[in-house]
Amino acid sequence: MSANAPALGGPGHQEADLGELGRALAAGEASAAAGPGGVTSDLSLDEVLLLHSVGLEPVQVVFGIGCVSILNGVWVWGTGTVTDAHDAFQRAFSTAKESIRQQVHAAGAVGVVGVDVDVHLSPHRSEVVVTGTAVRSCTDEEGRNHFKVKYRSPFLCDLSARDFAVLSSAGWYPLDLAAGVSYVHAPRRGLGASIGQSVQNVELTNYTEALYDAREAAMEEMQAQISTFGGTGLVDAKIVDRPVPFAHHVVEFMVYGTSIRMLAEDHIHPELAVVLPVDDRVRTFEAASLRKS
Amino acid sequence: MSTATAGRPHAFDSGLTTPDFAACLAMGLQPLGLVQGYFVGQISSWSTYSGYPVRNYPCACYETGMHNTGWLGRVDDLDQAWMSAHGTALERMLKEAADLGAHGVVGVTTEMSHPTNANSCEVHLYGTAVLSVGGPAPQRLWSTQLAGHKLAKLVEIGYVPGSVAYARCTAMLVEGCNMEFYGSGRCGTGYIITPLQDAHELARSGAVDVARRMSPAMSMYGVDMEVHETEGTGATYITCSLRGSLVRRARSTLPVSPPVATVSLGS
Repeated sequence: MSANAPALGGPGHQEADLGELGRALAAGEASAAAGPGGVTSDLSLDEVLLLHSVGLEPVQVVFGIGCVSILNGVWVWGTGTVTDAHDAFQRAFSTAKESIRQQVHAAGAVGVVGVDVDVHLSPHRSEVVVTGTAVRSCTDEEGRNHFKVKYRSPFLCDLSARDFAVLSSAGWYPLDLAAGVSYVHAPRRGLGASIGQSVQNVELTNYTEALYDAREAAMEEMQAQISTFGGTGLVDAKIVDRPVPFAHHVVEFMVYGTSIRMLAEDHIHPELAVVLPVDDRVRTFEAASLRKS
Repeated sequence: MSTATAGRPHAFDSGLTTPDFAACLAMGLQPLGLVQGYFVGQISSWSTYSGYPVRNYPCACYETGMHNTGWLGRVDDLDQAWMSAHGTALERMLKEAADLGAHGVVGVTTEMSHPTNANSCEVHLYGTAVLSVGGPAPQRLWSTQLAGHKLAKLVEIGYVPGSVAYARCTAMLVEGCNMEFYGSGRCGTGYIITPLQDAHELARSGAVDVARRMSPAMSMYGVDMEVHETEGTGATYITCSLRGSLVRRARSTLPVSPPVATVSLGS
C-alpha cells in the first residue's frame, strides 16, 4: 500500500482491497508522513476507530490519585453523619481529578475518556484513583482540527468511546465527573426495642432511615456539583450503598457519573438501522484446552 | 531449543475463529500453524529486598524519639524477571513461526501465572503464524493480539503491527513512623497522605515509561492495565503491569467514516 492510498471505507472509496493490506503488513513499510509513536492507550482498537470517527485520537494513559487521612475514632457508634469521612472522600476525589487534569494539560489533550474510578475506604484513609486515556483532536494535512468543540478546561468522562460517540452524535458533550457521598450512623436501638423486636418480623427503621438520609445528602451534593460544572444533566450514574465494611452501624451511599451539556440547538435523534444477524455464535479458542493434551 | 513444529504434516492448524480465518485469507494472509512460546522461571527470593530508594520521607513523630524514616523505591529485579520471561517466551514463539516460514503471528494471547509459588513465574504465549502471500519477508517477524477484520481495520487507519509487549513497574513503600496515619507529617482528618499517592503514581508512570522506552517510534494500544497492592513485612508493594500490542504508524491517519448505529434483532 502506498503512502497516498485512500482509507478503506472512507469517503469516495468503496472497494476494500484486503490483499493490499496483507502486503503492507509483510513489508512493514513506514513513510515520511508517519506520525510520532510513544502513545500508550488502554483503549481497544474498536474504541480507537470510534474515536477517530468523531475526530479524536488517543494520546496517553493518564491517572490521578488522591489519598486523604481520616482521624482515629470517627467510626465509633454515634448519631448523624460522619462528616470527616465525607470531607476526606471529597478532598481525595478533587485531588485525583486535579492531578489527572495536570497530566492532560501536559499531554496537550482536550479531555479523558473511559475514566475508571477506583475508590477504597479504610478506617484511616480514603483513596480515589482515576485512570483513563487522554484524547486530542485529529488533524488533517492542513492542520485543521476534526474535533470542533472547544473546552476551557479538559473534560473528564467515565463513558466508553462507544458511549462518547453516541452522546456526541446526539449533540451532547461531557464536562466533568460529579460525585456525592454520605456516611450516616444507623442509630442504636434501645435495649427494650432490641429485645422486643428479636421475636418479631419487623422492619429495622433505623437502617432504612439512615439509608434515606444518606441518599438524600449524596444526591443533593452530586446535583450541586453538576450545576457548578455548568452541566444540565448526568448519565450513567454508579451507585454504591452498603454498610461500611469495618463499621456496620454506618451506612455509606456514594454516587458518581459524568455531567453532560447539550451543545447542539436541539437533541439529535440518531437514525437506527435494524440488523438481523444470521451467523451462529462462534466458538472461540480456549488456551486451557492445550493443557489437557 | 527444539521446537514443537518439526516433522509436522502439511495441513495447517490455527487458533483463529472461523470469521478471523476467512478475514485472514481475504487479506492475503495464509495461516501456517499454531505456534507457542513457553517459559517457566524462578524469581530470586532476594528480589523483593532489592528495592532502591528514590525518595525519603522524614520521621513524622519528632516528640517520641522514634526516627524510622520511610522511603519509596523501585524493585527493578522483580520487574526484570517478569519482563525477560515474557521476552524469552515471545522469542520462542517467533522462532517456531520462523521455522514454519511465516512472516508474522496474529491473534497472540498471553497467559501469566505463578505455577508453584510466589517466587516462580510462568509465561505462555500462543498465536497463529501467517504468511503474507506474494509479500516480501519482513526483517523481523511481527506479532499482534489482533486477527481478522480488526487487523484489517488497524492497517486501514494507517498502522502496521510491531510486536506484543509487556511492561511493569513495582513501587515499594517502606513505612516510617506511623506514616499511614500522618498526612505530610501531620495528624488528623483531611491531610493528603503523600507517600501513598507517590507510590501509586510511581508504579503507574514507571510502567508507562517502560512501555514507551521499549520502542519510542511505536504506540501501544489495547493495553490491559492491572494494578496490584500487596502488604509485605513493613512495606507495601504496588505493581502496575501493561499488556498490549505495539503498532507503528505507517502513514498519516485518515478520517474514518461516521459509524452507522444499529439495533440488533434476534436473541
